[in-house]
Amino acid sequence: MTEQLVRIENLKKYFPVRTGVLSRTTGFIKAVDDISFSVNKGETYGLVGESGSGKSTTGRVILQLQQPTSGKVFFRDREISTLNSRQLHAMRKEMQIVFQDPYSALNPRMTVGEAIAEGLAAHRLAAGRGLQEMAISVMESCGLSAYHYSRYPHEFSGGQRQRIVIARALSLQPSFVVADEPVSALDVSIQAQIINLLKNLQEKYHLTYLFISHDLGVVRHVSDNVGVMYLGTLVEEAPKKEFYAHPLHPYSKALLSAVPTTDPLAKKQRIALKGQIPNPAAPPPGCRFHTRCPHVMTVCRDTVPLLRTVAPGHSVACHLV
Amino acid sequence: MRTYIVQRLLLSVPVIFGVSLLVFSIVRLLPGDPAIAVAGVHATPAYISQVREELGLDKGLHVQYYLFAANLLRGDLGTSTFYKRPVSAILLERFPRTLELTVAALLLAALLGVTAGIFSAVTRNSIIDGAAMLASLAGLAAPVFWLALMLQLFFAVHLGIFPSAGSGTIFHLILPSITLGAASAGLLARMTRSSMLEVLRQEYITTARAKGLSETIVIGKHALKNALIPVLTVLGLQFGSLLGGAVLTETIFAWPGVGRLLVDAILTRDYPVVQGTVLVLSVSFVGINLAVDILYAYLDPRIRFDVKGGAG
Ligand SMILES: Nc1ncnc2c1ncn2[C@@H]1O[C@H](COP(=O)(O)OP(=O)(O)O)[C@@H](O)[C@H]1O
Ligand SMILES: [Mg+2]
Repeated sequence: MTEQLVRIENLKKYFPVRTGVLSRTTGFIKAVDDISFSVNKGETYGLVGESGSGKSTTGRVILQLQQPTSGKVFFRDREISTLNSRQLHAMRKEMQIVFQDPYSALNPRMTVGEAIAEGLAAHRLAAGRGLQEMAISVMESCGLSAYHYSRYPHEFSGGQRQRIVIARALSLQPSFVVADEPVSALDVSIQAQIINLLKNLQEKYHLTYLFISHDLGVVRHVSDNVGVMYLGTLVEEAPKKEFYAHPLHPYSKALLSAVPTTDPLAKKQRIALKGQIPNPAAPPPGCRFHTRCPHVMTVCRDTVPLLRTVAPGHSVACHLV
Repeated sequence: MRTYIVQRLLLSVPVIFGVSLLVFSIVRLLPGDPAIAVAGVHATPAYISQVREELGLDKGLHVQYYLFAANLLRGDLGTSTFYKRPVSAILLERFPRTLELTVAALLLAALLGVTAGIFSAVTRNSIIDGAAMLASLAGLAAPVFWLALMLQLFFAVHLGIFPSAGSGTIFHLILPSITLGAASAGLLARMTRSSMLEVLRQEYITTARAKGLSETIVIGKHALKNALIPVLTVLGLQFGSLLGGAVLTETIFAWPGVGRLLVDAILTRDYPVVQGTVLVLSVSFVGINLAVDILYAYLDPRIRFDVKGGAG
């Protein structure tokens, strides 16, 4: 029996485009344009797509780090986009974020211990001596040592920094973590370590992840469900096995064809995508992908394809399907 | 940390030596003969050469420098040819007045500039931001003599609330320190704003918010502490350039500091006073920079620890 932890409904986030000396709003970047999905408790939802497709914005809006333009975010069936600041403070403990860049994610002037203890104190999870004990225990469960407590971030390598970032997020004992490209900035050899750490922690603490990545190879290792975003919209969503075995959207197929395989017999044709991702301030009419789609038809140019369920848990937005 | 300070202290020794040599040479490159200046234009050649001998100007340049440097090490800056008093005594009178003006200008600039910069960054693209940045540009661009004149006209002549020149009370200090500090305030406002915006973009700021910290703590503790490090360096460097800028401001406002002393000394070919003044200004400059560097290392753990490995 799966239980939903996080659900978003018709979420939109538009950023105003300002031009001229008077900075008048002349248009909107539709970073997230009407998407809905849910993340099951204890599972990992892999959100994939090229850079600029709106994945990070989705993550930030879910965590209420940015206000949605419209739409709703539910956490344990409670709408959190309308909470007041005191209710939101309590909710923050439940939802944490791990960023891609472990350099920019750590305050250079705070020791590892301070960074972790600060959150613990803000939520009154510990006080006095207990702060340090608790911080060290989280650090150790993330593969760090007690003596790292009073070290500064610049003394660590990228992989270790990411462990610190994870420890800091987990110290608040959240139930939901948005991991925004948590391994994209790391060496391939380190990536596996961090992925394994995230998986182990998930099992140990029953965590629910929204795992954001542009790397379908990585997503395959961690996800239970996969959602594909393109220019602010969700174009396909499916359970992991189903998605990797039968991708239906031409964009999903193209992304998958670019993942290197270790199987030399697997005959794969790399589908090259034409051109660049279009400007999100002026997305193409009809299907947003039609300018780059190898199977483009007349209908694609003027009619927006709706997300339709084609198999249990598998939906796709394409006129071909 | 201690090795770092010692290292920096040792480095400033050759700098100060170089400055003393430079000061000594430049003074001697100035057109005009100090012996004539002291003896008077109508003095007999015999009297002039007697004065020259008394001043030690008949000796070779290397001997003169040796004597200058040897006296310097004993803290003796020579005797003013114009005031007929020890240069150190004159400087002891005048330098605190310049320091007073400079510190007042710097405090004013820091207070105004940093506050404006923070508010600009936090309310980016708002009317407050626009107004503050326009004002900072005006402060940076206004020529000192023009600004001084305008302030004198408006506050002294028109409104009559502040004295237009001279010294003695705290009110005398206000117009000169605004004049002197305006450009620094503008610069600091712009520096603070861009530094704050840079830091606010960092992911640890977003994380701090995600941790559930209040906006006051996010801005005051996480953002400001990091953003003010580069601002502090500029502030220190501004102190140095304000000391130099005081020369003009003091002349306009008849402020009895070393700035005016220097201008008068150049006009009267008072070598020892020129040498002494420039030297004291330079040593202060070096000292301030040293203090800023040490403070910087203290504030930024990345520097504090890297020096162990030798890198800066
Ligand atoms: N704060 C912002 N202001 C304006 N535009 C933004 C902002 N954040 C993101 N965007 C724009 O929204 C689009 C989606 O960005 P993002 O969510 O970061 O995508 P992804 O994480 O998939 O790379 C991009 O075009 C980006 O430039
Ligand atoms: Mg992103």
